[in-house]
Amino acid sequence: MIFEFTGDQFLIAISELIQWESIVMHLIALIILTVGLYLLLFRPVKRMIKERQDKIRKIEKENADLNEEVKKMKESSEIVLSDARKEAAVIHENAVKVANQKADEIVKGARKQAKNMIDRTEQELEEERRKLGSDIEKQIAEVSMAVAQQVLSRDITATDNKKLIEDCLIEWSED
Amino acid sequence: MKNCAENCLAVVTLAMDPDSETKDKIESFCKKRGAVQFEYIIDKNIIAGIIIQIGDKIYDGSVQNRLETMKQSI
Repeated sequence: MIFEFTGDQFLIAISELIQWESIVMHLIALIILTVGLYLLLFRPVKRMIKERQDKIRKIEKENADLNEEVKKMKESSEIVLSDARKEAAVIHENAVKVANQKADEIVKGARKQAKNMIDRTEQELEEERRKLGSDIEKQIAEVSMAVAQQVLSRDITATDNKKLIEDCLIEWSED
Repeated sequence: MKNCAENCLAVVTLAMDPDSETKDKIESFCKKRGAVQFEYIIDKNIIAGIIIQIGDKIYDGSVQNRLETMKQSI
């Protein structure tokens, strides 16, 4: 159905169609709805969101605290490690020093022992040499005496013997 | 100068038999030292010279002894 209207007639028609009470009622309903939505939906949701934000903030804070703690622990552990490394270095240095001293002592002891052995051996050699020399001298003396005995027993005459006896008697008489 | 009490024996060791002159000299020496008896021993090992023992005293003038002494000193 197509209706043709003029301006005024249009306005009159509209005013007949639009019921102001209904609009007010709709407005009131809208307000009620809005308030109800605010109270029943918007505010709880907002509260929930706020709670979640608080929770998240709390968690973030805890995280930050933990990180701080971890950082401090890391620093302290690094300090401890550094001290331990220094101590280890000192211990190592001392151990090397002691080991070197011990090695020097051992070497010195070994040299001393070797020197003692050499001295002892030299003394023994000297002793052997002396003994040998003495033995050789003894043998030379014995051989010389044997030869002298042989020569004298062959070459001494009765006259020589008589002269020898007389000389002995004179010498003993003077004592 | 006696080397023994009385009537002691003189033991004389020689390399060869002495003649009478030498024997007299030996006995004279021994008598001065108290020997009355004499015993003569011939021992070629002494080579030459004389060894006289009167009591506990010994007079050693043998060549052997001199050689021994020389050997000791060498």
